[in-house]
Amino acid sequence: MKARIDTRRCQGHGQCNLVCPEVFGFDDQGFGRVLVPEVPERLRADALRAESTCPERAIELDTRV
Amino acid sequence: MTPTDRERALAAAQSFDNTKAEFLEHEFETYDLLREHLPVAQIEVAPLMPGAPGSTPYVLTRYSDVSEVLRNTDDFSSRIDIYPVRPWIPQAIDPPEHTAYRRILNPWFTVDAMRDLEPHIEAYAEKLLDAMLERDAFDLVADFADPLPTVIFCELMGFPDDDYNRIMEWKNIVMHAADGHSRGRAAAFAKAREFGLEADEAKPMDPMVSLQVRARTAAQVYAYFGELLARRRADPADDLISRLLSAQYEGKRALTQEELEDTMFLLFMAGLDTVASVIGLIVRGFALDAAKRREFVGLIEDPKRLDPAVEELVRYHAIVTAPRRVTRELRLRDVALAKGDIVACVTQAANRDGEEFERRDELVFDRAPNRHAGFGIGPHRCLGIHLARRELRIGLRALHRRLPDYRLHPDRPPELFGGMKGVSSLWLVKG
Repeated sequence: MKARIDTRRCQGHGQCNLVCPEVFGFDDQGFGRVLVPEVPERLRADALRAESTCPERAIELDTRV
Repeated sequence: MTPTDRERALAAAQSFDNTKAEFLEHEFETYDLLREHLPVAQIEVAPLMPGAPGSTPYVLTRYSDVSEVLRNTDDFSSRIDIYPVRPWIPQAIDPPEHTAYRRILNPWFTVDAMRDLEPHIEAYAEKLLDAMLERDAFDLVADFADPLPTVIFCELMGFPDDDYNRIMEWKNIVMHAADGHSRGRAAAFAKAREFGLEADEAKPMDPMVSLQVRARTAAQVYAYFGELLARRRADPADDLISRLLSAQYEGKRALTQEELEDTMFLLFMAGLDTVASVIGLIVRGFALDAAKRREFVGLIEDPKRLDPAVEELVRYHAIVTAPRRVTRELRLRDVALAKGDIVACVTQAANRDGEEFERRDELVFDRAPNRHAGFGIGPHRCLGIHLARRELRIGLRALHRRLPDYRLHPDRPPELFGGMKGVSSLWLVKG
């Protein structure tokens, strides 16, 4: 599974980081940054939760890979 | 004949004024009625959003509308003269200037920057609790909810400790002169006397007098900022005032004196009022619902459970109604809006929308997903979000460790205020 953040949508709420800090961190401005683009299998459920709880709907997970 | 739901909604819109404390008694019933039957509700009581003269305020209560409007800064501008003060930076500024100001401020409020404050917040919370819990009955707002975020914020900002009382008084006048906040009201009347304005304390303050009081108080605040800026220019310290003085707008120029003061004004109002209000509302809720409080006490030692619980408490106890000014003729649902109209995005109502939140009126501490608008939505998302979360987690955990059981004082009922709502007095007893 691949993780991406749409930087046009992200506003830096940081909810993804609360739910899945291994995959989602912050840049210097406090906006979301993907730390591990290839989401490890064991973090799959957390990454999905981060995607669904983003208030700006800025997280894209490609579940085909 | 009984009124139809739509007639009831129209009547609710006609008398809608969420700046009044009385409104809070039927707050969520009103939001439900409007959300269901009149999602773009034209209201008649102007004080809600004293925007451009002659403009008509509309109230938005659906999560989808609130979040779309708050994201769409082209059609819905933040440029609104809300007080007898200049527009706050960056709150009352639109992109692209807003983006440039936020680029200056954002790095100072990151998760990492706020994490460094944690031991200090913790120590200060304990110190406040030591003093408060010596007594069996106490005002949680005066002894804990107000001073915790305020003192932390004053230190971060670089406001001298000795100015605490003065700062709180100014904040209470500018924000709470006429919304039911008891200390705000008392301070506004005291200021009216100081300024030689006529005001009868037996009655609500005349709106024109209130405007003058707030304008002249704001002038005092600007003058105070001016003094502090001069002092830090001469003698920089490790605080936000000093950082603002060395900040570069788009990497090109220093901020002007007005920009510095207007940014300080925003930080001042947002930093002093919000977390205190939310702590007050949360603890009042827990005082009234012992089962929920026990459930919360049971999870505070587990960060994995405390983090989502705090998000849920912010959803449930949202306090902000964000006004926007319509920039062109457009339609919102079936309502035609004109340029200059004011729409009020009621995050309190959006956060209870059943289309977005299951069991919307219930505190579900492990709620997932929780795309709440309690910290706002879109580019104006709360700048201090990570400071607020940290203060709420640390403050609520420290309080409930030391005081797991409490109830409302039998003779001193809580005092609520409207507008940016909150609790101005919350007397509790142990046990």
